[in-house]
Amino acid sequence: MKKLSMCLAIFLLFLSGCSAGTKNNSQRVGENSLKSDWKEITASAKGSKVNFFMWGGDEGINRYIDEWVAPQLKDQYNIELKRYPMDAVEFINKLKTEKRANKKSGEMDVIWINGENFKTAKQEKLLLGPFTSKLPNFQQYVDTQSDDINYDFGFPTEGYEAPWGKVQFVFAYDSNKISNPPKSIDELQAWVKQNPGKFTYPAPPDFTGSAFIRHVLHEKSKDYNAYLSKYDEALLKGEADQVWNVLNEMKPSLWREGKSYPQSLSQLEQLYKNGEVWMTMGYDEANASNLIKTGEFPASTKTFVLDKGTLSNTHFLGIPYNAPNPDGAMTLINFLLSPSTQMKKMEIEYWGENMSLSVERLSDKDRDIVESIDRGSATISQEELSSHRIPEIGAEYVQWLERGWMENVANK
Amino acid sequence: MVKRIKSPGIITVFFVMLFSLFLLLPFVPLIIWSFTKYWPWPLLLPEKWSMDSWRYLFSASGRAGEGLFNSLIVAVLTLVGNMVLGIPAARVLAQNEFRGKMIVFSILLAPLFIPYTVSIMGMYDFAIRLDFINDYLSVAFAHLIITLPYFVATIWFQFRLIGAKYQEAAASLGASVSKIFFWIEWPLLLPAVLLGSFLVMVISFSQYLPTWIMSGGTMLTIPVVIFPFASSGNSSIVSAYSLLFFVPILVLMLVYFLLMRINSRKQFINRGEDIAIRTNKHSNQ
Repeated sequence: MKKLSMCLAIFLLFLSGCSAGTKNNSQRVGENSLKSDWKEITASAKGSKVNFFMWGGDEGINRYIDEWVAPQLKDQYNIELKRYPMDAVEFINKLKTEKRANKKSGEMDVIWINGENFKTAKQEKLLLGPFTSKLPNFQQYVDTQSDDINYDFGFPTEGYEAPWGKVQFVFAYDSNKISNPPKSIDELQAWVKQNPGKFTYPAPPDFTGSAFIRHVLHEKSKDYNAYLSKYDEALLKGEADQVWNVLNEMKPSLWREGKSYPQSLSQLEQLYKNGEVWMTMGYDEANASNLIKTGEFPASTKTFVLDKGTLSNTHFLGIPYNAPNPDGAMTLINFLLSPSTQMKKMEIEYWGENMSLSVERLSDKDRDIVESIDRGSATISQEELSSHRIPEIGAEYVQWLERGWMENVANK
Repeated sequence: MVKRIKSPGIITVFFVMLFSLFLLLPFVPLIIWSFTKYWPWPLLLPEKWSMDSWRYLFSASGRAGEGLFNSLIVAVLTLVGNMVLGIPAARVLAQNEFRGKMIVFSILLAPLFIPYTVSIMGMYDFAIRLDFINDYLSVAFAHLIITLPYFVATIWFQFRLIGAKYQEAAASLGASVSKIFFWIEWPLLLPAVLLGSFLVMVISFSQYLPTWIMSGGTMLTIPVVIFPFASSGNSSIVSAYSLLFFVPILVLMLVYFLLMRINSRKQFINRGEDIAIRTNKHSNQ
């Protein structure tokens, strides 16, 4: 019995020995990385392993990381990339707990965040620090002056996160059933009246439904730009009634007379697939094309933007404060911002999402390639998208609108 | 081995059929969904079939192999822990009388009654402190806490059935404690150990939260791999994963029946008919 317990004790010691050796002193490493120059960073990242924590609910995105990015990173930098599927809310909570327990060395090197998550992470000091200025590709190809890079849902990024991609809100419709899609909220209202039961939107606080009602605000607001600066409840209170009016007037002609709404975008898409509604929407301009490709949407599906524009936002990559391999993390993020990696991301084959780089800053050759990329039959042209782009408003306004919708539209 | 040779009544057949239909029917849409991306409501069968979901599952991104492998390692470690801790505990509880026995017993069974979330929250802090331990071990440790009550209860029951008579007889003939255990108790215990092990492994396979928390989300067992898709509305992928999830359980089930069969046959040959009938009677009670 004594022998057995001795063996067990030695075994446990052995176990603790081998794992402790691989991850210690990372806090110091992290601060050092922020001070060292790019050459040192890439040199020390060679031969290391990077853990990438990201939402994992999309086949195309997962395949893009595992089948394209990981092998390239291995070839070019000899870095091993491991993707872990996890929702942003979960890894932010994980980081919070680790911070509370004063855990110096974590597991996550790169995390995919934006909006609310980023705000929490930055305010609670869960991020490593400003690092984007170190990345050559960020300096060279990203429009560092633009608002959609410097603000994330109205919150300043200050280099704590690097832009990975941009998405824009579009409406999708079946061109066999609708020949002339509406071009404004007013026209949409008229269309809904003429075609009762053929339109609805996901109930806020669903992400997509919430974005839809912001479009109504955008069109009805006297000065939308006022919402981009500091939070002012009085401003929103004054204009919100018009938003509720539009939505309430629409209500009797919605699907099921507006008595119930789809609870999520996937439910709305299900209705569209079944032909119950003729229009759907989404915060991803290539989503319809993706779904046509997999056979889920009818091939006659097309997308459109409003004349006054649709919301667009940027999503970002960050490095946690206790990343075990910050050098590797920066090398990966820099690689993800290279033109060839970003152009691959645009192809409908994997993801189909727009690049975070500025097209004007690309070489002539790359610009030609970008223009020739097949983004799918339902995706509208880059010029049309970028000329109809409106910025996101602050997270407080978003939440206020979501609560207001419950009171003034859903429960009326 | 006494077999009743009597054909079952029509009512029995009817209920068995009804019950199996009840169990099997949910699998039909799962199988269909895993082979199509688009199956709108009024259609009886999808119009377009595709292998995409299965191809994805076994691609580098799908992580089917990795998930199965990790699930299996964790389940085996959990099972070893259960054997080492559970069998002695069950033995003491079944054969000895001591003060506070009921308290010990209820503590052992506590994870069954205490709401899951309570113990999980405690585990969270614990996990960070135990960070130096290998992920497989710490995850198996969490699974051990959850599965131990099932295992102990199963083994305890069998120990009660065996009673103490054989052991007393052997002891009076001079057999040592270990000899009594390996030669008398273990063979009689085997059916319960097999059943308990089956339960332990199946429960371990289906744990999401404890796995997630103890490993910090880095231990990719099957439930952890499936989870991101569960809320994405991608019925096809979710169906394919669910079927994959079912495979190891099916295999375990086959192994269980196979081992049971070998066990009863071995006893039959080794110990003569008389004992075999008695052990069978015990295990069937």
